[in-house]
Amino acid sequence: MLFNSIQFLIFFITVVTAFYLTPFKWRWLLLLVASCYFYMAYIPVYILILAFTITIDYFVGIYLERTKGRVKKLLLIVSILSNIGILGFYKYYNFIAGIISALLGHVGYRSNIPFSHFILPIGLSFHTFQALSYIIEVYRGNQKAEKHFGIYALYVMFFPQMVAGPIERPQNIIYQFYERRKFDAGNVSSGLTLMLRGFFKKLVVADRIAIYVNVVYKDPVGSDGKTILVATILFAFQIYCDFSGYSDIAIGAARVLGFKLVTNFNRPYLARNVSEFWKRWHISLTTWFRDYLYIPMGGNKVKLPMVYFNLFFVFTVSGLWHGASWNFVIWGALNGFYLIFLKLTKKFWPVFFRITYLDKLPWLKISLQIIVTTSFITISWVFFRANNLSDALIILKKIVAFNGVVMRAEYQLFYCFIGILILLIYEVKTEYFNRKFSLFNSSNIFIRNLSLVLVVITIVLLGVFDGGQFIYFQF
Amino acid sequence: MNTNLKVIIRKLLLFLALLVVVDYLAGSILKYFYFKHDPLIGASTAYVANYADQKLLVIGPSHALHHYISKQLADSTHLSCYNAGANGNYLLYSYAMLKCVLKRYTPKMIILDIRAEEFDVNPQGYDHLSVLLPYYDQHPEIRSIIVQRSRFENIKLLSKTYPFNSQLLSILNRNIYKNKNEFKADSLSGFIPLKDTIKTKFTGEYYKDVRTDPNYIHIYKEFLDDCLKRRIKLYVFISPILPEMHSQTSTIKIALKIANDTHVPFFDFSNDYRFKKNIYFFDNEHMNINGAKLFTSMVIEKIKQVK
Repeated sequence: MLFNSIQFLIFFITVVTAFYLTPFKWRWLLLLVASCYFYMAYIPVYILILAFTITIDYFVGIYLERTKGRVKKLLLIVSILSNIGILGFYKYYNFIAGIISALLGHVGYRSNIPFSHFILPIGLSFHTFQALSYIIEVYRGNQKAEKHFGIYALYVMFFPQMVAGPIERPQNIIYQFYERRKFDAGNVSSGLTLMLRGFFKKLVVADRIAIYVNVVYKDPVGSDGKTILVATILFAFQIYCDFSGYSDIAIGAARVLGFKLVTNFNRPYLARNVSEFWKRWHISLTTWFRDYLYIPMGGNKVKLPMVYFNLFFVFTVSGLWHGASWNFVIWGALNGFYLIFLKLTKKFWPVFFRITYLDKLPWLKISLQIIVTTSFITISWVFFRANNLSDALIILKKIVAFNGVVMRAEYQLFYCFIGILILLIYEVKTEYFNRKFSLFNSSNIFIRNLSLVLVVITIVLLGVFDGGQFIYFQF
Repeated sequence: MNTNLKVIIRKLLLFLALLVVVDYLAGSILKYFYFKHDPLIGASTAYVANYADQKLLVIGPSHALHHYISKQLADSTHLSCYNAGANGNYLLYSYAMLKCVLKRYTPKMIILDIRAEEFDVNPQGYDHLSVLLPYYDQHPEIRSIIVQRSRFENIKLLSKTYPFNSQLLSILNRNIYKNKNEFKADSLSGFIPLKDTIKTKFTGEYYKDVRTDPNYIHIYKEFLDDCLKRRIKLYVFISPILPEMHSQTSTIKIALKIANDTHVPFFDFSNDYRFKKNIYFFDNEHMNINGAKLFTSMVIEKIKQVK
């Protein structure tokens, strides 16, 4: 079930009404049934996979708490293997089989490794990481094992965030399922406002841009360099609005029900360097990798070359998490490289800003930093979006060649710019002038409501209502 | 009642009241400007739906729009002619146009152009009905077609602004400037000529037969039935395309059978060898003015043969 569908609106209104009418002790059951229904709207039978991993992790969690030493480690390994095994089978089998076939081909063997035709269960990477987070936290002793099977299942399956995050930590969400949630007008109204922001991002910006980008990236050979450059810049906004739009809707929907999920995006395109970008982009995944991979590898507390290796490795794995292809691996590695470069040149930049007098022009300095950071990130998106590696290289070559004309596609490009302009004004205002010109939080109820109504009318007027799925669903 | 609940109900009621008022105002303003400009200029749909009175109409997708020269048809049939073809629109749109026309008058002759894959499952055939949304209020006869866009189209159409979704810039453009190309189209009675010539011809299998959509077949039958009931001389044509077709598509087989059963003349030019030359085409599917001239003369010949 897509968030941007009438089906979801009907489903959501029904669940919220039922939730507040249901006695507290049965609310977990209501949410679990609703979450199952939500998940089964895609491929119903895949709920069995989820049930399998939930059951294993539930019992492993309980036994992890009771055992010590080697058995404890063994249990952890069993759980990690079962989760990663399923993820690996559905997501990486064909990728690995392809690599093995190619390698065997190089040494003269004709391999007959069969390819899998299974469709990737929706949001598998997300709930696998959420389940792993629980197991690791219980193993470390930071989280008590959940004894209530239904609550544990709900932790993995809570419908607002189960298919595309934010990836929650057990410490943040499980206790909330035990808290008696009273109907709170503030939560409902702030939740709905967040959802509205998400719908704007998805329908007005992301899906509109998708129309243009899909045409260009489908045929990079036949597209002019200038058109490809415009499509690439647009894609940077598309991926942001698609994914952060989903997060906004998820966090907003949870808040209407009285639950607080973690923030997943914090205006990433206003970051002043790549390191800051990654502290603002997909925060729940970045912190997941930091806490469960980067720090256990030694993090910053090892010799400098190892720090560089750790960064590079973690970002490459993060790329692989996003998709089973070399494109994603390169995308991740490129971002790792950016961070290493930033660390290597850490002492250079203050000197550079001083001798160029940019220090004395803070607005110009900030603007330049934002533009340069966004440009580097946008280049890396080419690998993320291109259909394959050779397309990505063609796209980069054509961008450098900068030839031809910009395809206007009737009014599509203008609609994209209108959406982006509204978004940028909102984000810059929130980042730098948060207390000023407040419309959505105005003390005047009329202004507040009129602002929200205008957002709805903008969505109705400029939104794309037959757009596709959220991009991150495929992960 | 819980105070919190009272607060949220009050907030929601105020929000909904404001939403209804603003939606109504925005929708009314957009509607005014959408229909304000001269319908003869750049609004083929508005013209056909509300004003067309020609005796001969050409109805169909972009193939119709670029392949049938209205003046040539009018001169040889001695009937006033308008080309009501529309870019990016398919059978559902064609049928909606027919219904609008039949509500006002009965043309003497209709040429229906369909594509060789017209009945194939094609969600765009439904999506592109969006161009008809502004006519939902004015034309109750096409509401049953418009609501086929999506399962919840009825609910969406409760909004007065929704019919003008993605129309803002074209409304502004049409009211501020009068588009030169559209002027030209009008002077040619709907026909829009394409001038360039394709450089490279597509090789390989151009059409892959996929599942057919029973609804499209049903609409085709309805189109034929409605014309026959009103005793309109109806001709169904499939325009030429540049690539070779290795076999007849499901659409051609089904459309031909239905036409034969109802005694409607049916002509398939999709694989006509006389048109398999680059000089007649703008792209693989659309003929340029050279191709249109030749094709229109052949259409006239066929119509005369049937007469």
